[in-house]
Amino acid sequence: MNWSQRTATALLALAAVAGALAPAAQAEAPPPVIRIGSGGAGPTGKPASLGTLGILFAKQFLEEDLKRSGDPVKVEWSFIRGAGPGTNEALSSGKIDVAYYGEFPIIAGLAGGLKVKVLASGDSYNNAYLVVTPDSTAKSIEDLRGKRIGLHRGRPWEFAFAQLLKSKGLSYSDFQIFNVPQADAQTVIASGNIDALFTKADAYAIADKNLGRTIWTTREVPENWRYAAALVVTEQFEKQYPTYTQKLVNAYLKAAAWLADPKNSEEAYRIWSGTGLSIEEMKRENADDPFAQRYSPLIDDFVVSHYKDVAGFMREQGMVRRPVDVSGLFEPRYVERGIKELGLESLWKPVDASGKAAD
Amino acid sequence: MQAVKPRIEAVAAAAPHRSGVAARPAAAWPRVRGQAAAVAMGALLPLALLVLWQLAARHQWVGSGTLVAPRQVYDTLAEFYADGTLGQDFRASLRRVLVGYAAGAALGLLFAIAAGASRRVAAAFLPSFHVLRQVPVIAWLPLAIFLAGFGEGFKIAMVAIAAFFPAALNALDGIRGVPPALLELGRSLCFSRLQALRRVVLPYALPDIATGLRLSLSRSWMIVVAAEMIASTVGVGYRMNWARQLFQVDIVFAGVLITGAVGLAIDIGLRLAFRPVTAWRGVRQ
Repeated sequence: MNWSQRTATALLALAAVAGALAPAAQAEAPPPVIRIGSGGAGPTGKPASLGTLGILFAKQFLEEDLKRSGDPVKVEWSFIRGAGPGTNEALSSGKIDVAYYGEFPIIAGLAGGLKVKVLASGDSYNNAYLVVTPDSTAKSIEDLRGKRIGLHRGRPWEFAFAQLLKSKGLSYSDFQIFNVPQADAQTVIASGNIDALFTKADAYAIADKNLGRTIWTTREVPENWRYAAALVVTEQFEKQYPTYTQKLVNAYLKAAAWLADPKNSEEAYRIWSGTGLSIEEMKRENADDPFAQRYSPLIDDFVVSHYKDVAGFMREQGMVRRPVDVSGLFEPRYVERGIKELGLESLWKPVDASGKAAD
Repeated sequence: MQAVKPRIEAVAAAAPHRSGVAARPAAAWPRVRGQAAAVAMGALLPLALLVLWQLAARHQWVGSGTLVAPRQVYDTLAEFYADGTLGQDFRASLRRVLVGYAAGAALGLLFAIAAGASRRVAAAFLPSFHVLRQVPVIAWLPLAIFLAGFGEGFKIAMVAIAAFFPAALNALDGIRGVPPALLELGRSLCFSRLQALRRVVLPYALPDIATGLRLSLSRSWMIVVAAEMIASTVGVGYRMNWARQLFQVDIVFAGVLITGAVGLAIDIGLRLAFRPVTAWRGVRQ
C-alpha cells in the first residue's frame, strides 16, 4: 500500500466511524460562505448584474432568508469580467460555487470537464438581430450573400445565425464572416469594414446612433433560436450542501416570482441598468415577452431541448471537440421542491420543446 | 554579426580611450562552463514548476478536475504540429509581427534621430510624443481599424504602434545622453552633421538603441496576440482566444508555451545579435 492509498483508507475508516457516531438525521454543516458569480459590474464600478440573478443580488433575497433562519452563512458576490469564459474559469479554479451564465459557455465547460449542474433556468428568450449599414439595400439574409458579416463567434447568438442560414439553405461559406468581439461591434460597423452585423440587443443602440438598421430578429422565428442563461452550481457544492442548495434555489425562485409581477418591472429595469445597459434598449428587447414567461425558472422540455440543440450545433461547428451529452446536466428537483415550499405552483407554466404551453 | 564590426571601429575612432574593451580574455573554456551552469540554474525554476504542475494536475489540487496535465498540453501541441495548425498559426503571427515591427521600429529610430538632431523637431513633437506613449497600446485599436482597415492592416498597424514607442524612447535617451565633450571632439575634427551622427552619436547611443529594439520586439509579439482577437481566422493569438472562449484549457496552455518560447527565442536572438554593440555599456559610466 503506498502513501496515498494508506491515507485514503485511513480517511475512509475515519469517515465510517464518524458516520456511525453521528445521529442519523443530523443536519449538514453549513458552508462558511456561498460564492456566487456572474457577468456584469457596471461602468460606475457599482456591482450589478442582469437577469434573475441581478434581482436576487439587488433585492438580497438569499441574505434575508439566511438571516431569518439564523444560518451563519455569508454570501459573496463576484461580477466577472469576460462573461461566460471568465465564469468557467472562476468555477474551474474553485473561486465560486454558483454561477449564472449562458448556455454556450455552460456546454463548453461541460465539454472541458467542468462538473456543474443546472439548477434553474434564467432568461431563456434573448433575441438576436441582423443589422445592416444604413445605406444598405439588403432586406434579408439572402441579399447579403458574398458580403462581409461581423459576428462574435462562439457567443450564444451564433446559434440563431446558424439556424437562420440553415433555414434558407445557406452556409457560412456563402458569406465573408468576420469575428467581431461584442465590445468592438459599434466601432467596426461604423468603420465601414463590414456590410452587416449579427448581434444582440445592442442593435438598438446601433440604430439610435444611425450606424445601422435591423432587418431581422429572432422574434420572427421559433423561440428555440433565442439564447438563454441559467443558474448553475458545482457538483461538489451541491453534493456537500444540499440543504443550502435548496435555500439558494428558494431565494432564486423568490427573485423570479418578484420579476413575474408586472408592477415590479420598472424597478427591475432600474436594477439591470446598473450594468450599463440603457433602460430604453432593455424595454425594446423585452417588449413582447411577459416576465413570467421570459424569466421562468422551470427546467422544462423547452429548456432541455434547447441545450440539446445547441450542444449538437457546437459539435457540428467544432466548438466542442467531442459530442457532449447534456442529459445529465440538469438537476430540476430543487426548483420543483422550492415551488411547492413557496406555494408558487400556478405562477409558471411548463413549455414544450416547440415553445408552446405544455398542457 | 560581421556587419556590426565597422561600427565598433567607428566608436573606437571617436573615443580612442575606450578601445581596450574589444579585446576579450582568451580563457574561453571556464566561460563556457560558467554559461552551462547559468543555463542549468535558469532551467531549475521552470523544471520545478513543471513538476509542481504535473503533481497538481494528478492530485487535483486546484479546482474541480479541470487543470490539464503537462502531458495533455504536449499531446495537443504534437497534434497541432502534425496537422499543420501550429505552423500555420505561427507563420501568420510571425508575419504580422515582422512587418509591423520593421515599420514601427524604423519609424521610431528615425523619429528619435530627428528629435535628437533638431531642437525644432524636438520642441514640436516631443510633448505630444510623451503624452501619447502613456496610452496603452490596446486603446489604439479603434483608430487602427478606422485607419488601416479590417484585414491584415490594423493588426500590422497595432504591432507598429507597439514597436514605435519603446524604440523611439530608448534611442532618444541614448542620443541625448551623448556627452557634450564627445560632440565637441567631433566639431574640432570638422565633422559634418551627418558625420557626427554616424561617427559619434549613433555609436554612443547603440546600447540604448539595442535595448529599445529588443523591448519593441517583445511588445510587438504581445500585442499581436491581442489584435488577433478581431477578424482573424488564423494566428497564435486567435487560437488562444478562441480556445479560451470555448474552455479548451489545453489549447490555451499550449498557446502560452508557444508565446513564451517565441518571446524567449526572440530576446535571446536579439541579445546575441546586439552583444558586440552593447558591450560598450559596461565602460560608459
